[in-house]
Amino acid sequence: MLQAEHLTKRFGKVLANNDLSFTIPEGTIAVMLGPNGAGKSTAMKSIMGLLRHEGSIRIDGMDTSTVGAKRLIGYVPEMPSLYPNLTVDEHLEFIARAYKLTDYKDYKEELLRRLQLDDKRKKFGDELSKGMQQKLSICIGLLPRPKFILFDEPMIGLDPHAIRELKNIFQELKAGGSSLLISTHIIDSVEGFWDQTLIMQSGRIVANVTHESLKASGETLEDLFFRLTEAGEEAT
Amino acid sequence: MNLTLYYLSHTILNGIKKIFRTWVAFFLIFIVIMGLLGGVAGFSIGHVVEQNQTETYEETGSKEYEEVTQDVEDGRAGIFQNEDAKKALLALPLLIILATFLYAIYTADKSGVEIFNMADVNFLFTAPLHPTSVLLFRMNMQMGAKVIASIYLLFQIPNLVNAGVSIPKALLLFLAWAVNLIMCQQVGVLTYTLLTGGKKKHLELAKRGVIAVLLLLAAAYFYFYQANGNNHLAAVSQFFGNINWQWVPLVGWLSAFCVRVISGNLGAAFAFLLATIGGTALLYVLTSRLPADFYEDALPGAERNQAVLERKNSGKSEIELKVKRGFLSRIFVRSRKNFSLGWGANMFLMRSLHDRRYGYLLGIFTKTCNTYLLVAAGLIILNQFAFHSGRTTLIIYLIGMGFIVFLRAFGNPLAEEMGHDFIYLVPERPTKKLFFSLTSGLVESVLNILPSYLLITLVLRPNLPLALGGFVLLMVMDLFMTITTAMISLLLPTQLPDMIRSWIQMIAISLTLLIVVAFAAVGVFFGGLLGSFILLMVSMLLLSALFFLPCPYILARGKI
Repeated sequence: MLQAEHLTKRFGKVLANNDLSFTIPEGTIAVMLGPNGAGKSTAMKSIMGLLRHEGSIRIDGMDTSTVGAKRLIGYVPEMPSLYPNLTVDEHLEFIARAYKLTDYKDYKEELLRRLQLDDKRKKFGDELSKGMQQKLSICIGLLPRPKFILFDEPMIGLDPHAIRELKNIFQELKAGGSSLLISTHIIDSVEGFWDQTLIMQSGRIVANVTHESLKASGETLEDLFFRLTEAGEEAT
Repeated sequence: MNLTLYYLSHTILNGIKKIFRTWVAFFLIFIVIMGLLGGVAGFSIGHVVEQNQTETYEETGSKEYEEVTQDVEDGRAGIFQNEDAKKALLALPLLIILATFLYAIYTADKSGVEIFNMADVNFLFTAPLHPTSVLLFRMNMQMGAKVIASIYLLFQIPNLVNAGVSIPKALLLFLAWAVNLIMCQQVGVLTYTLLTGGKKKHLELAKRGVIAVLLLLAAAYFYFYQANGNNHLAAVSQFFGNINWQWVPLVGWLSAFCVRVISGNLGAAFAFLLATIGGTALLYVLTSRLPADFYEDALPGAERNQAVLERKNSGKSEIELKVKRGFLSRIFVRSRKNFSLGWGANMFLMRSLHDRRYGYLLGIFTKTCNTYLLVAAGLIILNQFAFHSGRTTLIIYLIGMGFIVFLRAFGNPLAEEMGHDFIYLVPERPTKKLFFSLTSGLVESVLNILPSYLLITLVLRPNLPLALGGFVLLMVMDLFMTITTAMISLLLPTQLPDMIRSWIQMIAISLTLLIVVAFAAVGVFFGGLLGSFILLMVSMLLLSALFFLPCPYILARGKI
């Protein structure tokens, strides 16, 4: 379970995250929506321990910036960045060593096959197209079999086959008890499989709704998003 | 360590594999072979000539032989005849090590946070690793890269041997340089880790500390200079050549190692080397024990480095970021208007002039220009207290500016145009586009150098031929260096590692400079200094024209 309490992050005078509090239970696919500059990436980087912040963020009771917590968290960034002088295979091997993984080789082969990278394993990081880089990024994020995975705009640059495969992976991870937090602009891409949505605007969470509660209200996610972000309302 | 070794071994091997996919590999192999053959040939010829001289002198009789061999030894080591000069030369290792050490502390922020890229952020910052481990990982990579980049120094061994240093000693001096690189890297990272702790402003303390040390050293040097009747050699030998420097940790120990190697006292040399290595290892352990909290500070640098890498991969060169307009410029420079001049290919020149006109005071006083003015003012003041000769001061200024022109030419003079692709896209003949692009760089150089040059010549009033000739020499040298490096930049694949790119540029420029120097030497025989000057100009202009010829054709073919 991921628990954030009073998460606040300032950049000089700018309040990028203003007193955010939320919980993402196990086996949940949570989506973070918001316009540009809402503070989504800042929140994600704070969870990953990349930024100093006020408040606390814990996973299974451990502060997310600790080594122990990082074993449980995976991260797929928005912009894939690879080492230019390592091949696809070597990237995965590098991560396996960084995470001190044992018994990972079969899963590695499965990921490469599912995301159609098995015939690209000898290609260098800078020889891959943007889409392939994104796929490798996803493989790297998933290889340690984390309990909590952050995806920042994961579907950008992916072909239809990869998008479908990724959605299947989301469902498998959820079924296996893992939690996901997906940050995206494209509401359509997450329709049909999300469990919880956090809508952010101007550094604050203006809505924290579950799929069941939204369905009961009769409103679609898109309607809710535009109602809140364009009118400046807050969902109760 | 398992992770470090894996990354290092694969990165190096794959880097070599990539180079061998391009024509650059053959050029590098050719250069390495020529370097080795040249070095061995030079060494062998020197050895044979010396032996013949010895044999010839042996035939004339033992007394003459002793006198002549003494002359030969004195001649070879002529610089060591003067005791002060000998000690001053032995102070050279200390000066180099001290300079690099202080520079490492001054630029500690670069050691700490500018060394990461976005792949490190995404994979290592988020991995279950202690931040210190991540810092040490990248630091080890940097140290290894610096040592590997210094391997070209091994080609200088034959030159050292010819200067009287044996091969084992030359190799030990190379080892000293490698240890110095590692030591300075450690110091930089330790300084950063100690001083930041989340507050980057504390790094200013390191910069101020270094400036304070430099001022103290300058004051101490000035004291010895005056105490020795304004004798520089005596001052250097008595201050920097003082044996008590050997008690200063790290810097003193390493320079003592170098001095003992040169003088042949290898037992003491190894003791100092072990002390230095031990001290450096202690710095490493200290760094690993300190809590590191730099992830947030490292993000901007990593993003910048990633942007540069992406530009390289897309075939674009690195563009130098424009510095913000200074305070005075913001007050006095008129508000910016649109272009009123320029058409076709000459827009590449007009853009540069337009930027200058509206970006800087009077369109002249850029940061570079102001720096040169400060240097000129400093030399004028120094002339009053030390040189007392306008001619000498101007010559020193010309040597300094020549060195700066040489260094500034490295890189890509067409970086800005290639970075935006306009030089490829604008529908004009490549010759015209190149001509105006390169001219804009030259015009910038003239406008940067001219104010300081005028200041120094009008104040000091050295003779007119020297003043005019010196300026022309600088401009022709700038033209020559610009065209040479532009041609090399157009030829090299854009995805080549920076280190290899720098090597090739350095080697190619050194080879062309050999030709220029040969012309100048011939000029001395036929016309003295004037003849040398004329042939120097002619050779640089001819080579510039020759190197410019293929450039339009290379440009028209597109990016490599």
